[in-house]
Amino acid sequence: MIKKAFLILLVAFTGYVFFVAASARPFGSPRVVVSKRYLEKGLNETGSQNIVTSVVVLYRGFDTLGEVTVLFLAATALAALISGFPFERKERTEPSLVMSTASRYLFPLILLFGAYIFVHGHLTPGGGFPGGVVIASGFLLMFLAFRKYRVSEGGLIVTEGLAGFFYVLIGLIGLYLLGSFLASFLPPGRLHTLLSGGIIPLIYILIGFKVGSEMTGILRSLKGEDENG
Amino acid sequence: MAENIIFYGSSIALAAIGLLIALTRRNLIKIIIGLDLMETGVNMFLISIGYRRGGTAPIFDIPLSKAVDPVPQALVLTAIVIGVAVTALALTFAVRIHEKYGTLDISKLREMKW
Amino acid sequence: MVSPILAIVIPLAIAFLMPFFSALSRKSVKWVFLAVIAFNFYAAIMTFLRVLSGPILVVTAGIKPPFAINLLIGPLGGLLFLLFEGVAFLYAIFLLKAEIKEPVHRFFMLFLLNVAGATGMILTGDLFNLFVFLEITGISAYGLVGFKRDKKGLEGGVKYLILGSVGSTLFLLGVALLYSQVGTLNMADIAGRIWMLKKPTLYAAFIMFLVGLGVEAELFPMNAWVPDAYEGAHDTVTAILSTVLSKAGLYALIRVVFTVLSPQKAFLDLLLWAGLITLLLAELSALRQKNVKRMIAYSSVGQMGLVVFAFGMGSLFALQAALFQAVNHVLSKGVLFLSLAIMGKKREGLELENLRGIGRELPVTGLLFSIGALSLLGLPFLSGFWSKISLLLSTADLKLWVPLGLVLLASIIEAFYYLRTIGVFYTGTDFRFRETAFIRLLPVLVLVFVILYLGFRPGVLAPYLKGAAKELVDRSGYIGWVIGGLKP
Repeated sequence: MIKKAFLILLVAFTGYVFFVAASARPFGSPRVVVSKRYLEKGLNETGSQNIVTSVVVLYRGFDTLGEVTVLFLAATALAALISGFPFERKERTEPSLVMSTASRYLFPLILLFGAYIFVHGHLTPGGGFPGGVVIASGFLLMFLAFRKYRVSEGGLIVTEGLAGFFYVLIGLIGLYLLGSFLASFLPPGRLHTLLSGGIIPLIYILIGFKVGSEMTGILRSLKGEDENG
Repeated sequence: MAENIIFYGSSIALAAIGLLIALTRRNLIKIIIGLDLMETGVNMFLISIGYRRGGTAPIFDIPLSKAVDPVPQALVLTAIVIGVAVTALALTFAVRIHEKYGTLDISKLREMKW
Repeated sequence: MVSPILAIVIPLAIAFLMPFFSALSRKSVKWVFLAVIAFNFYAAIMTFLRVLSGPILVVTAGIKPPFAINLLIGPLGGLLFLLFEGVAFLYAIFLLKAEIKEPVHRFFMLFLLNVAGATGMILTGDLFNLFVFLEITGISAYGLVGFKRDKKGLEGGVKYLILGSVGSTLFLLGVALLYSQVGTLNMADIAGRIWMLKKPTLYAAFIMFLVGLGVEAELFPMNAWVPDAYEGAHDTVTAILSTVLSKAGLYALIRVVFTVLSPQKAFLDLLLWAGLITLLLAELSALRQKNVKRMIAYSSVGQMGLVVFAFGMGSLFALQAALFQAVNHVLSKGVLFLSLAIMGKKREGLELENLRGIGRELPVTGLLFSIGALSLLGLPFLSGFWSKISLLLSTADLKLWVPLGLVLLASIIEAFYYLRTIGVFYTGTDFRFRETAFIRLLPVLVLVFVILYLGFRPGVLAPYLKGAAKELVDRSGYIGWVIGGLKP
């Protein structure tokens, strides 16, 4: 009890110090040092209308490669940990007709919407990560609506493996052609149109596929499909 | 000042509450909830440090003076994805531990003593 | 000329493709793994040689720092890079003959990404990028620890996961705080603007980094996961956790404290005492252990405490000693955990009583274990002697008499339990000679050879250690390398 009280006091005190420290720069007036350049030059330098996207994919693109790797790692570790788990199959009733019919019509629309989000990542809010998650949510809907719905493991592995590999490959092409990893070797294109942003749309499409297949893979592992197929 | 308390204060408080939950609770699921709260607090903090008064999303064409700082938004995107990954892995651990030990109480595993 | 960035991205690309290799042939996985680590080792050697003539700046996305992420490899980075990849290469050879639970290819994927993450941590020059690599290293380590899916592994894994994610979230909070005040994430750029920070901000950031990175660097009290995780994990995983991972965390901590935040007196004092407390508590706990693997795990924590203590002294001489001690810790712990893995194959369980007489049964392994342990204790003419003696000398140099006494006390405790263990290894009546396969002994032999070599010629390492220590002390030099237009 005393230990707990002490811990609470300690965390509260540290939080207060942190608050004082953060308040040294009041809310609403961010210190833009590096971002200044992104805002001023980003549009012409990268050709991407959405500056957040150009920060994510180009300026801090190496982080994003790492981020994709983290998700891949989680999917891998999760599949390794869950393998051999005795999933209990409880008898469930089929979902209602309304549910299954609606899902069947919604599913392609959800996939289309996900694809729209990641293809337009350099023009509108969104991009590879949200797009991929939307796609995975479509698969989740199908898992819920149909007891017998299956996704083949091979398809997921091929999609995520190749998408990841091509992502690194694009980076290496930049290294080879322009001397630095993930350099944009394509022209910025016509601003504000779909074909702009150099390698940004390319990478976001790959990320979309990769995230979509990884999230679906995570759902699939947690559903326990390997054991009682 | 009031804004500082509302935005910085609440996000730091959320992170602190999450930290306390993660450190003091015994139930694994509650610990994972605590970790997520902490994550959310940090993400809120990141978003609020990049906000510019009267600003909007940095997607052109908007006047430069109206764009919020794009970097924290990119960081939050990364942090969210990492948070999802950790949560998924933690829940898998919870499932397996429940299978092996028949409990989610981590103090019952062995001894938490150092 | 190999770009150092390849040592990070090639493992990633191959890890993505690992399921394909596994589908082609299940045996190919470990050879592919070995090949990638061998490539990394080659890249590390080339980088190390290049760093001798000057630091290397690697930019990404074709944009100069601080506007894009950059890698910076100075003398310190080069030294650790070589050390990490060399040790990882030896572990990869050791893994060729190891028994690994299914799914095998996932084990190697996790292992590969773990090495890539640790490499990224020591090469990157960007604070948020460091966080990303910290998470890559961490998540792969959680998976590896829990990989056996038995009670001990899961328990160790989940404790590591909880503390690890708390730590990395706090680290992220620190990064966010710094960003909000200086508006940049590049380490050198932050270091150049750190004077703008007020005292509370600087201290709050330091506390976040200390607690956050202390989890990986095994500082008290954030190291509660260490014994359980080390005991529950696969032997080679324990070895890489104890050698590469802990050093990567330590590197991140000292880089942040020395370069980014500027070494304030209060920070160094805190490091010094945190290290000392960690050392003493860990050695006292190690004394009580019956399981040899767990005992060495505590000893590993103690050694990390010793190294952090030495960094906390802050003088150039102390920093050199600390780095040397860290190198020796990597070599010795590699020997100890690998030879223990060989012993574990012959006996049921690693309790001390079960290992009675193992030194007669496995004469070579027993000898190697003893040399590793004696080097750790600082027996003259082994590598560990030189680092420990210079560490003690630098403590005396700064007139820190109380810490000096405590370190000596900890060394005596350590000597007691290691000698007790070795004694048990060589008692008993089991004389059957059953030495293990040569390929499994080879990595241990190489490590012991390095220990002996450095023991007879400690001067070989000195210029590199000096360069690395200078890099830590000379902040403006580091800033100049990145911002001042070092040719990429």
